Amino acid sequence: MSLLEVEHIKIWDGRTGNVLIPDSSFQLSQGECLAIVGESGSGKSLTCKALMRLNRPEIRQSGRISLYGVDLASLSDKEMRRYRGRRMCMIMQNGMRAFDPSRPVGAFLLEVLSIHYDWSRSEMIASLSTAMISVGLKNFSVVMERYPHELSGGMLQRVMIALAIVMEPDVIIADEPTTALDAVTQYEVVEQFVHLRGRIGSAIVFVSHDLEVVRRIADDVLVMKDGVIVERGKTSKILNDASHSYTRFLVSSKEALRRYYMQLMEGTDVAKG
Amino acid sequence: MILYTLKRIVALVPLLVVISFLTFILNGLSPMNPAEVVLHAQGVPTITEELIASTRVELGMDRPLLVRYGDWLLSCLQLDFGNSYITGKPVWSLLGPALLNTLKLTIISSLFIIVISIVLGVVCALKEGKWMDLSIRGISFFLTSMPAYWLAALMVWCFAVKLDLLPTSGMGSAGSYVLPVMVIVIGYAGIYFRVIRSSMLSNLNDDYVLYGRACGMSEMKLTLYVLRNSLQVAVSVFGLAFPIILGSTVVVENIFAWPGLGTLTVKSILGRDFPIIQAYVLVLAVAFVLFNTVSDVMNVAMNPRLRKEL
Amino acid sequence: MKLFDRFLKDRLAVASLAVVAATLLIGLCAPLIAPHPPNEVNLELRFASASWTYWLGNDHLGRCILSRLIYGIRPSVLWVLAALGAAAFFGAVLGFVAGYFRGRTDAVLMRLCDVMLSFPGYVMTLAIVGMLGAGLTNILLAFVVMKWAWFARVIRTTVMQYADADYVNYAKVLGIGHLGIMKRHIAPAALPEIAVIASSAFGSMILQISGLSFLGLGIEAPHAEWGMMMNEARSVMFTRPELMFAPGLAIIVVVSSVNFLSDALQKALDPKLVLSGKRASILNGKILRGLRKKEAA
Repeated sequence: MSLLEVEHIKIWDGRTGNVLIPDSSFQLSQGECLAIVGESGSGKSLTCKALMRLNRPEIRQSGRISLYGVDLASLSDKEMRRYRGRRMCMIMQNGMRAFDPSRPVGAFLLEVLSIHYDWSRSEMIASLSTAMISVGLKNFSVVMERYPHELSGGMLQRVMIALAIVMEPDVIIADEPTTALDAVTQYEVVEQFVHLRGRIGSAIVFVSHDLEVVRRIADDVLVMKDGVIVERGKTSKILNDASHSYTRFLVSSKEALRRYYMQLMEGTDVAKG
Repeated sequence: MILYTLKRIVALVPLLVVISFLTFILNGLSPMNPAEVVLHAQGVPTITEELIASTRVELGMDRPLLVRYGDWLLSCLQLDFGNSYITGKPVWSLLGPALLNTLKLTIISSLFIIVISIVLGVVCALKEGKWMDLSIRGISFFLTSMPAYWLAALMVWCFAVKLDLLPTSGMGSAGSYVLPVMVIVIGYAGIYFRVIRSSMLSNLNDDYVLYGRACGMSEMKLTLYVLRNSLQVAVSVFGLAFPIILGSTVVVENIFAWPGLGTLTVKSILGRDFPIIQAYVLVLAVAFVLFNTVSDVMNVAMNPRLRKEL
Repeated sequence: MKLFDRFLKDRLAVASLAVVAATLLIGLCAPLIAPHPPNEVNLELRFASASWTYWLGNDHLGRCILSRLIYGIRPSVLWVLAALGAAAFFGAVLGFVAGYFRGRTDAVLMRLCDVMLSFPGYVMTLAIVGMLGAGLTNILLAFVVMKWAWFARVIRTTVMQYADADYVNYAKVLGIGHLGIMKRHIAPAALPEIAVIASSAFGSMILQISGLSFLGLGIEAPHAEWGMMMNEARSVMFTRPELMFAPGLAIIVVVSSVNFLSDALQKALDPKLVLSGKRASILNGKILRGLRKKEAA
């Protein structure tokens, strides 16, 4: 049985009646990394948020979202809350804005842990520190005391990944986590995700419009255009030999840039990946 | 943090000096010779050149400007603002009690304004776009377009005349506070609650609320955190509001015959009693600057982001 | 212009614009529109109620209330607009200079503004009126003195945002002089924001001037002015409430329309008003500065 089965999701704007996503279905297996690609406005973010029922109240959804057989859409708010963070984790695009600016990062992390587990404070700190060191945040105690604006975007992304490592969810949903980062940090964070896959067996839904990142990290790719899933397949097939014309168009435009870039760099000092 | 506070306090000093100097030379604005004004105010029938000249010497107005300024400043610090041109009594004996009366009115009004603004602001933000939000905003819009005296007249007519419930003038019992406070509160809460509302709305739409929700936090907790962040704006707003309300109770005091600062000032303006006007300007300007500084410091203390920019 | 397109879509906004424009027009053409001379005393008509000749009745000196209301637009609204314009103009000149040239000029001008802004608005108005005496010109002068520093500060912030833009740098590279850049590139972009700021101050200034007239510090009798009309009606407030009703209602209508207009302009300028980060702090700054202006009568 698949870990996550999304069946006939329909998302529409409750105020205007505008249908944003008419009918989407896909599955995710354990340990699999599925990338969702598409241009801005294709509905990638909406789909992701719908999985955790995090869209704004005006955005309505229907359809079945089955996690290990349990239909998330039928859960009450209280039950859904228990799933969020514990069984499904989200990693946001903009690290700087994802944290409460008036609280130190550590306070937030400890609170989240206390919602889902009843560990003692020292146990929480112990597991957080292990996770943070493994994502490359060596000054663990310093990071915990810092306010969000005192840390860089990349560091905050790693904090979110570390939290996911501690929670060990079934599904990690990463909504364009590398889009807001500069190229070097992007590379580092993507490496963290690869490392994350090795550490815990979570399935990952990775939204991105950057095909290079997708190439590095995803097993399967889902291509979306204007709210519709246009194609799905293995990464290598989609990126090299896609069936749908839109996919070929998407790949070729990025490919042209990539080739030009490689040409400029002449293959030296280029990060392998 | 402490460094910032000290820096602000130190920066205050030159500002206060400049303000006091400007207030001092305010007298010079008047087209009339100050000595002449004194004589007018005292009701002297014939004012000759010699009388003016001798009055000038008498009042010490023939000394150099800076000397006069220094003297004046020194005596101000001892709360000696000179004597009223009209009554001859020391200014502070008139200003002091008036200030106290106005303070009583302002403090009580401010408390109500703060509470009502926060409650209305939060309610409207949480129910944004719904009936309650729209109607509260609509009514307050209307009420804040009303001149204070019109509103006051309406209330006096309604409560005092028709229902005969409350006193309409003077500063007597606790009941006499009700109408003036209501008029002031309606005028200001109507504006300030909108600030709180927009601050809350912008916070509610922020990503950290989404992430918190995604990590399993309850709506109640999230709303509390949003509230905390929104209220930071509130503190600086209310910090500034207090001296503003203090200075602009003029009309309300006039209508309700409240023996406060406003009444005194209007009387002094009509009677060209300069020392009182001068003292009024100085006291309020200093209060304003002090409140400004305190509110800025509190803002920085509460909002860690601002410290980064210092 | 996108601003006007968005604005015109909002019907209530257009309605409020119509009200304000009509008021200004009526005020300008007062001699042509008013049925009777505003200061014409007819003691035998004291406190007469509405009749066919005198649509709103007569006041305590038998003067036509409607005519006084119409002529009252001039000091209460038109002259206030003029003072607002003057304050905005001076403030804009200084704000442009400070925001565009930055450096020492900016620092000096801003210190100056800080000093001026240390005096709460009402206090400054009363001080100037106190020194110079009561009267319309003095009050308007006080308004200008009170507001220009505020305008300067806010406009400076706006100009600073635009002066940094790439197209400005490009223009500089092309060798276009400073004045030219300001006129052709920055002014058009800053103008809508200046309009919003100015309109938001308009309403409170109308309230203030009538408040001061109400206290007897404003325009001299027998000129017509809304605040003063209300002051005159005070003594008969309970026997003849309608005398206070007319000017009060006039003020409410005009001030509501002006405030509504200002809100609509602001919304047209920035329809989303979904704020985050830097823009939120800028807006909060504007709100805080906007509150310093709000000293309702």
